[in-house]
Parts: sequence; C-alpha cells; structure tokens
Amino acid sequence: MIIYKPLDLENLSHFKQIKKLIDADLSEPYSIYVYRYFLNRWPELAYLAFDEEGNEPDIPIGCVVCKSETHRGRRMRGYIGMLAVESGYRGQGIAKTLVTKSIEKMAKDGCDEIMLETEVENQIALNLYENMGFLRMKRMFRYYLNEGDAYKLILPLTEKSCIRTTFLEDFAVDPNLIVN
Amino acid sequence: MGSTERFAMNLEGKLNKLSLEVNRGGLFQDGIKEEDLVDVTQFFDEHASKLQTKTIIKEPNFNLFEGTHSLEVENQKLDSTSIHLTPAEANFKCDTLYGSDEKHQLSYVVGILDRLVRSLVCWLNDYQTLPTTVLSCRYVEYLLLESEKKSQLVFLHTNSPLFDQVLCSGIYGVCYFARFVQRLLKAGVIFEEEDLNFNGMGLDFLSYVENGNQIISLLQESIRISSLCSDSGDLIHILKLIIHLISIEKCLDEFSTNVSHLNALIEEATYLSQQLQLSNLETPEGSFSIGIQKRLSNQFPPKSLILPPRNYEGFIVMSQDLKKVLQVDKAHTMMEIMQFANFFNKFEQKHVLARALFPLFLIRDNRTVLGRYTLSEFIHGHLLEFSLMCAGEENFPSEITEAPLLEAANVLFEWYQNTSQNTSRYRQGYNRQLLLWDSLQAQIETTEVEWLSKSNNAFAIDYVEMKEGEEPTPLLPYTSWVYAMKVKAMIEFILKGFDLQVYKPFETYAMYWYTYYLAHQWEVCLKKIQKFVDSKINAIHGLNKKVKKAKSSEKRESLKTQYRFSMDNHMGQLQVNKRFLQYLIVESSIFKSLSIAQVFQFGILSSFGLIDNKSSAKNKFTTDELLYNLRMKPFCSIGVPEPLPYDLMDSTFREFVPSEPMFALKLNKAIDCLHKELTNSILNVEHILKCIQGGDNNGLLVTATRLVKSESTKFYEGIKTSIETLEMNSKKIQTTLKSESKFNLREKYTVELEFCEGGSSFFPMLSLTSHPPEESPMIQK
Repeated sequence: MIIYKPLDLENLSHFKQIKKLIDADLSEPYSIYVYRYFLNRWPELAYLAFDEEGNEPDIPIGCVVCKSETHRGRRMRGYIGMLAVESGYRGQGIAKTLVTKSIEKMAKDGCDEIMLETEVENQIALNLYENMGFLRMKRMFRYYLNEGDAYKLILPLTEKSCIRTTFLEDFAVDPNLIVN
Repeated sequence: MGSTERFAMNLEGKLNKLSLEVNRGGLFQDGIKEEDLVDVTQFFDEHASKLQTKTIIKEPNFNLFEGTHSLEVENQKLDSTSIHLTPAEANFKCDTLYGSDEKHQLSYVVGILDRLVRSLVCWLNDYQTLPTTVLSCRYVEYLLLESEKKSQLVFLHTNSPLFDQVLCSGIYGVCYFARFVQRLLKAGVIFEEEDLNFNGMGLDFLSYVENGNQIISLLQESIRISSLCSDSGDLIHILKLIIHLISIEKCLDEFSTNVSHLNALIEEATYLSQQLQLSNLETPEGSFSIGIQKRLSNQFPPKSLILPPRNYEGFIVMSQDLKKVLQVDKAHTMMEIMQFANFFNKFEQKHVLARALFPLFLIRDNRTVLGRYTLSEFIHGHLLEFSLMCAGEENFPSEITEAPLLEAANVLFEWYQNTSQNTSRYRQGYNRQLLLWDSLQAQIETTEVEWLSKSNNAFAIDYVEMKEGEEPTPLLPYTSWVYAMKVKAMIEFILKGFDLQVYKPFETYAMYWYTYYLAHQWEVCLKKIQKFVDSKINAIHGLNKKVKKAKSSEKRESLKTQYRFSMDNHMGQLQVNKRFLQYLIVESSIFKSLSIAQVFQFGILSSFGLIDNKSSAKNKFTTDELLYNLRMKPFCSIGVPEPLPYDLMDSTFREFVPSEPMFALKLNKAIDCLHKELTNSILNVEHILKCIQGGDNNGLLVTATRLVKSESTKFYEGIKTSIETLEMNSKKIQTTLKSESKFNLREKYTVELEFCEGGSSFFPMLSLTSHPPEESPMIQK
C-alpha cells in the first residue's frame, strides 16, 4: 500500500532520496541549492510517497516538490518544481496523487493558479497535467539544457489567474511576508 | 556518504591544518592597525550555532533562477573541474610542431581548420555551445589567451610557416567572425542561450583588433604561403571561406548590400562540401577536447564535445538567409518593407545571424530606417499607404501627428523586431504587442475624436455612407491603422498557437470561433477604409466632370489645376492603396472561411459525441469557464473588439452542433456549409497566388510581396494545401462516421489536431484516429 506524507525537513535520508529520485530522471541537473531552495522554504509543499509493504518502507519512492509565492506582487502562484516516481512504481497513479495533494495544499493556501514547465517531448507528463486541467500557455524555444522546447502550463484556480497582472491590483500586504 | 559530505569532510580537514598567518602584511598594507580590528569569532560562533536546518545562507539577489544556473563542487553533472581529460588532451602543447614532414604538417593544418570551420556550423546552425564547438580547439584557446596578454595577435613558434602563419591566421579569422557574432548578440535583438550561445569562457575575442582588414591581410598572406605547398588546394579554399566570413560584418558596418562576398562564400562552401577526402584528415591528438571547460572560468555545467559532421552546406544556408535580409534595401514602399518583414521568416525560421541582422539592418543606430527614412517619415509612410491618403492629412493638427505618432513608431518597431524572432518568441512578442497597440489606439483615438468634436474640424474631413441609407461617418485614419494592426496581431497570436501546438483539440472550437470574429472585425475595418479610398477616387474623377460643367473660365482653370494636381499626386497612390486593401480583404476572407470551416468540422464531430468544447479533464480545482478565460487572458483588457464571454462561446457552440430533430438534414447542411467555405477560400488563395506571381502591376491586387515572392508563395501554397487536406479529411470523416453507430464512438476514436505535409500550420485538421494502445504511464518532469 502506498502512503503519502509531507516532507520532514529534519530527515536527511528523505532529502537524499528525493535528490536521487529527481536526479535519475530529470534532464536538468540541479545543484543542491535548488533542492534546498524549494525544500527549506516550502517543506509543507513537498509530498513523499512510501511503499508500506515494500522492502524499504521508510524510503520514499515518489515525490513532488513545489513552492508558492506572489507573482509580480499581484497574484499567488503555486509552482510544481519537481515530480518523480521510481520506475518500478510507475503506472499506479502515484504521481497523480502526489500532484493532487500538492495542489490541494496550494489551493488551500490561497493560490490563484498553479504553474509548471515541462518538455514538449514529454507526452506522459503532458497527459498527466492536461488530464488535471492544466492548459499550455506558451511554448519556449530550446528551454532546457538538452536543447528541447518546453511548454509552460497553468491550472487556473481563481479568476485572478485569467487577468493580466498589469490589470490586477497590488496585494495590500505581500502574502510572502505573512508568517502565519 | 554522498559526495557533498565527503567534500565537506575534506574541506574541514584542510581547514584544521591551516594556521593563522603571523605576518599579515597584505591585511595591514592600507595602514589599518591591528588594534582597530574587532574580533568577531565569538559573535560568529554564537550566531552560527543558532542556525536551523532550514536556514539557507545566500546573497539576497541569489534566487531560484541563479540557483538553477549554479554549479556544485564534486557533482559530476555540475562541476566542470571534474572533467576527465586524456593525457594527450591534458598535456597538449600548441607550440609543438605536429607532423614529421611538410605533407603531414599540411594535412594536420587542413584537418584542424576544416574541423574548426565545420564547428562554426554546429555552433550557429545547430545551436550548439561555443565551448563544445569552436572553443574545443586547443589552438583557439591558446592563441586568444596569449594574444590577450599582449593586446595584440601573437603567433605560434614551431618554425613551420604552416602552423605559425597559416593555422594562426585561420584561427584568428574564425575568432574575428565569432567577435562579429558576439556583437550581433550584444545588440539585444536575439536571445542568449535559446537563439545563440556565446559562452566565451572569459576569453577576449580580439577586442584589440581594430577591424577585419588586418586579419584578412594575414589570411591573404597565408594563401600565398599555402600556394607554395603542393596539394594545398583544400587549404586555400578553407582560408578563402574564412575571408568571406570576416567580410560579412560589412553588412552591419557599412550597411553594404553588396552580396559578392556571400556569393563567394556559397561557392567555397559548395566546393568544400564536395571534397570527401577532407573527412579522412586527422588532427593532432588532443587538439580538440572539452578541456577548456575544465581550465577556464566556466559558469555552465560540463557539456560533451560536438563532433561536427560534414556540414559545409550550413554556410550556404546562412549566406542565402543573409542575402535575403539584405534584399529589404530594395523595397520601394512601406508596404513592401512591411510585407518583407511579414514573410521573410514566417514559413521557415531563418538562420540566427539573418534573424539578428534584420532589425539592425532595418532600424539603424542613427535613428533612420534603411538609412533613408526618419522615424516620422517611416510611420507617416505606413499611414499614407494605408488609411491616411484618403483622409486629407493636411487637415490633421500636430497634436495628432507628432507625439502620438512617435509612440506609434515605437510600437511599429516592436512589430518589425518581432518578425525576426524565433518561432516561440514570435507568438510571445504578439502577446506583448497587444497591450501596446491597444494603449496606442486609446491614446490616438481620444486625440482624434477630441479634435473632431471641435467646431469646424468636423467639416474639414470627408464623411462616407457605409451602407445605403445610413448616416455618413468620418474616417479616423490614425485610429483605423492602429486598430487594423491590433486586430491582425490578435489573429496572428491565436493562429500561431496552433503552429506551436499550444491548444488541445477541445479548444479548437473556441479558438477558431474567436478567429472568425476577429477576422470579421478586421474585414469591416479594411472595407471601411476602402470605401473612403473609393470616395476620394470618385471625388477626383468628379473634378473632371466639374471642369466640363464650369461656366467661368477662371473657375474652369482652377478646377483643371486642382484635377491635374490630384491626378498627378494622389490618384496613383489611392489606386495602390485600394488594391492593397483589397488584398488584405481577400486575406481576411480566407481566415474567416477557414476558421468557420474548422468550426463546422468541430460541430460535426461533436454531433457524434467525439469531441466537446470543454476539457475532458475531471478535477475539482478549476472550471471550464476559468479555462476559457485563462486562454483568453491576452485579450481580457482589450475594449474593442470586445472580448467574447464564456457563456456566449458556449451557447453559440450548440448552434454549430447538428442535433435531433432532423439530425441528418442539419448534418448535411453543416457539411454543405463547410464545403462552401473551403471552396471560397481556395478561390481566394488562388487569387492571391496569381497576383503574387503576376506582380503588383497586374491591375488586380497589390500584395507588395515583390521581394518575398518565394516566401509569400510558400505561405499561401501552404494554406492551399491545408484547404485541400481539410476537404479530404472532411470526406474521410463522413465516410467513417456513416458506417458507425452514433453511440460510444469515443471509445473507438480520438480526435487529434494533425498537420499535413507542406500545409499551413495555422490550420491543422481535426483528424479522426483509432484509439492508440494504452500508454505506459511513466511519469517524469
């Protein structure tokens, strides 16, 4: 049985496993800073999947890493930075559950939209996100280090997502500064 | 233990071995006394001990962007110091003579230069990085470093003129050309990384060389030296090719339109591409490697060496595209310049250097266009050849014709600059432009309307009846031009989305339905202006009749003078404007017909339950209305043409879906409508194609495509192919669906957006395909 938990930042082995899972599949090599940037600032937006009945029930077999902050001071934008599931566990809906959990949390936190980028050639990732309602907003030429194009995908959660930032009002108080 | 931890332990060990230097001469050289310093060790330790796991110590401006571009020590993927070099690569000496005799030495020099120039093609045509191509040559690195130290060109000392003179001059030639490329990049008209990589590894690309003549002289001397060796034919051709590469900068330095050096470059590249023996040449072991990424300042992750294929044809592509850009200088009218920009990069993305050169060649540093029009002449010319000619510009005051027009020139320049962008940026550029055109329209319209409302001004301009019996209306020539540009930008933005495969099939209905609406708005605007042109033409002809009717000779003479003046100065341009507007009207009609044909096809498929105008995604986070509004976000702030709300889109959709009762009858009607629109559009496309071939003096349409005949023909031929494909696809769908029961078809078929070969990517077909086998849902981002 697969269970899902938010990240425990103090657990270094989880951190290492997240890095391992992502590094194995991602076309972009990320420095340790990038992992720390996401996980240290938004640990509550990282979810891990564990196989309770597997040989290593404490080792995550899937993860999603996200952040959420204001976009140009006018809209709250959630961002899915990384998603990976160990190859042997694919095809069981684990990625979908991880993404759903993170979106639920970001929506609860007041995000107006969720954004991410994915490779144009990654049809499987595109299927996953588009089946959740994400729209391709723009194509980016040679976006990745592997020279592939990317799509920027957005899932609108509120009407604010559908208005150009130029025509939105500034937040009275920057939500990034609200601690609790 | 991970590599990071190992590194941390090593570092800790090394730090422990360090002792405080007693003689801190460096620290106190500025006269600072030791007693003036404050010991912060305890303060530092105290604060460090309070740090939590989650604390990140970083410079305030270091954000995620910097993070994704940052390197990591001892991470194989991110640490270029961990690159492994073979002993030959690591210990390669440039000042050594390679080759036991002149024949071998010549072979090595040809081999090095051949590989180096082919690396240029990998770099520029295939978008590879500089360190993995040109800078992978050890000689390039060595000579640039040594020359930089002395701020002058230095040479090898092998005692072989082939290495010391010929190889060096060839390398300096390549580096000088790279300097020109860097200059194009720095001009800011193309994008670093996505269009061109110039990771110069901190090397100075010959900034101390005043101009190309010095290098060309060296190369010419090298040709003389080479000619003394037997079998040096290939080498001489390579050296000549490099000379022609250096000469390209004249296109920018002197805005020279002389293409003889580009023709010569094509000749040399053609010759070299046929020399198969070059493929067998070796280079000294270790002379090409990724060592520079290890040795010099590198801000990027390590990348593998690129082995250039036999790709001299790449120089031919580059030269031909550059030649094409220079042709814009031959434009006689603003419409020709505009159509040149519109088509030269539209159907196929041009070479990056041609794309970079175009805006710089067109809009020059001295604030002229092509060196012959001031900014105000340029914008004024665009207006005159569109809407202003029929409106009597002399009547308009400076508050309209000065400041707002300069603003208009800026937006127009943005439009021009966008036309040479890469295919993805092109669409984004239009997204940005929509705001600019809209804001400009608001500004100019306010000024024009205010001016018109003042006493007597309203009488100074023409009023024309748009439809019989309707109140005659005035033309706002400035606003009309801006509006037409804006609506066309909106259409281009939407249709480019199909090209970039941004839309899912379910969105096809909304996007084409909206395109139809925009094309209609555009057509209305064009027709209105054309009415005014007609009115002006008729008024001039009317003068002649008045001459005949005039009773006094004085009046007759005055009318005659007026008539002759108008015939000599206005009639020609008015006729051209009328025919150019007619061309645009035909184009708007094609966009309308094809868009509505796609809408009909969508409706037909929908009537069989095969597709819907709503996302099939089932989720609790969003709604169909939000998705539609997000897609329409670029247009949300535009007042005119007013945005079309979701409810309207949804309700009109149902009107396009044949349904019971009388389903068969309605279906046939939809099929007939679809067929009729496709037939209309093919006639219109053929009309435009005929006029492009016939030129603008054919008396029918003015397409202003003289300088982009081949490119514009390809564009419209592509549309024609698409229309034919849409027609065939429609018949195929009818045949398939006829034999099917109407129920559960979705389980059997999928509707996809499919491009046809040679067709227009603005109008892919909604094809019906049998369901593919289930995909393995492996996930990765």
